[in-house]
Amino acid sequence: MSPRGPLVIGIGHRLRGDDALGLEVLEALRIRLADRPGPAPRLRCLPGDATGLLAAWEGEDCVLVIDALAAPEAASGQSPVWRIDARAGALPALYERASSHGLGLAEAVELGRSLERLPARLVVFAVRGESFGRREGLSAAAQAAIRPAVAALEHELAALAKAAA
Amino acid sequence: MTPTEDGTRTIQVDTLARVEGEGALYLRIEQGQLADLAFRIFEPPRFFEAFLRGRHMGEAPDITARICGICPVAYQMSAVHAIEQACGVALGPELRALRRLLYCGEWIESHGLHVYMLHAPDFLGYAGAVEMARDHRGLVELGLKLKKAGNDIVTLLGGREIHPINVRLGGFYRIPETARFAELCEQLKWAREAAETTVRTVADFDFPDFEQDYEFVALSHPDEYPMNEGRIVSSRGLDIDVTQWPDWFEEEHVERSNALHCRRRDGGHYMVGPLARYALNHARLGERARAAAAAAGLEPVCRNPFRSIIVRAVEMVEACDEAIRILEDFTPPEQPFVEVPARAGTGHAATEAPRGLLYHRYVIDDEGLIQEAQIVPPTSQNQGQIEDDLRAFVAPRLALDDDTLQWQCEQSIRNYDPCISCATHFLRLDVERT
Repeated sequence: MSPRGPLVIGIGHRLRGDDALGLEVLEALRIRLADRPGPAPRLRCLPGDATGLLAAWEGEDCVLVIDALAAPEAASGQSPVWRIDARAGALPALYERASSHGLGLAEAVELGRSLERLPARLVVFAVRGESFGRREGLSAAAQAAIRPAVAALEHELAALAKAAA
Repeated sequence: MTPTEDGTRTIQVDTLARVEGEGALYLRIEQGQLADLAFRIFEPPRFFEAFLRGRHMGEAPDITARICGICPVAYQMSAVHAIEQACGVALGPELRALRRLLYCGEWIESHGLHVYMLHAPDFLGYAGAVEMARDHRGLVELGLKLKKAGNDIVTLLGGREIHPINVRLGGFYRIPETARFAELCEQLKWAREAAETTVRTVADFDFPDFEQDYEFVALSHPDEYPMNEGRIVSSRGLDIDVTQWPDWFEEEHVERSNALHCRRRDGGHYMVGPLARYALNHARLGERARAAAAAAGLEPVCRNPFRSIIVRAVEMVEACDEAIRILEDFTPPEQPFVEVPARAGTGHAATEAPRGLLYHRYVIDDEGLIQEAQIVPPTSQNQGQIEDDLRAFVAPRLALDDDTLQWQCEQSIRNYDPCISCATHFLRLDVERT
């Protein structure tokens, strides 16, 4: 892993309801990590367009991406957080309709794969939302998903730190 | 699909965007004839018009930047110009040049995205950029690098590449360090050559033989290819100040759609965007852009919407050229902004977004609170014309199977680079048989 450590990217739009989940989870993670000793991972907010993501991944070895997922419970399981190893294959088909970013994360992953621009480790944490209308603020279900999403990220970061030690 | 026994088939595309309900295309074909066609999209600006009411005018640039991830600068520019007009403030040449430079960046990134990632796959026979990248890696790499040159201008001036935060009423919060200008200038010289290559590349695509007698509407400025300022002119003789937009154009509610369609008050639909800008301002293009257009066989007026991809490439040459000129001639302003004291009144502005004329109107009270906002995006203005194009284009192609017909309808829509165009690669087609 690069000496700079992992880059954690939260993507979303604050005026599209639960689409802001990626940004809110990132903010919650920032607060959780604030008092920890040692180097903190780099955290970055992005709107989530494919070309912006490709540019952000450039030169990175390890990237974790947090994005909202508009999927029924039956499709993504009981957990509101879905860990997807994007290096292993295309994002699941239902992810194509996940958010409002146009040419977005799913396309960025596949473009990156075609252009050999994917980081050596690229993990997506898809957090289930339920309401993507034009408004500010998260639904109750999305708010409840923040804590398990942060826990999943902390677990991933701890595992990465252990592997690097 | 096979038509029903009574010869009727209905093609309904429910999802034109990735969030359901954003847009739809509906076709009904009876006895081999087109009986009905409706194209509708959801328009985010309607939400933002309400969102702006009661906010302080100083918040408008940051709020309007969030309307679109691809063209936030356009929304910011129309907003600041309109509010400054209401408050009776004009900027000096240095700040004006910086705003134009910022707009150049947005044109390069937006056109780069559309030409390479969204439109080129149509002509090369791919479902989208991902599939195209597998066979045309060099083309996609070039497009990404070209787009990045535009992003870097926006990042330098706007503070970040998407939803810029450095734009304010009266100018900018801070002026970028000129130390970075030389490096950016070199990058843009590469980008200008890449844009010229792009013109040659896309001019070789096969284009359907399809022309329409459009009324083109765009800004026109006596000294420059229009971006931030100018009068509103049309190919049928209209020549008005931007404050007169409401006197000559109207938005009408169309049945089956929550969107507003624009039309001339005394006429029909019209086209805004690169074809209109180019046709009405060809003489103001710089030497290199004009030479690139001529070498590509592009006449000063182009009425084939499929060839708009060439015009966008020519406009990228122009934007790179203009950005280089501004960087090389740059004189820092004394202050990053001029004060804009609140004054009750109404302000209008129109600027040229990459997709075409973007009109804003604000009513402000004496404390600077926004009482009313009207935002008319280019896609809304083009919506009626898109339907007209679809009718004319589809009519002789009704015998095509549904997949091919849908593909061709998508292409026809993408000619306009509507804000939903990036999503139209993911159309879902429902067929009703009656």
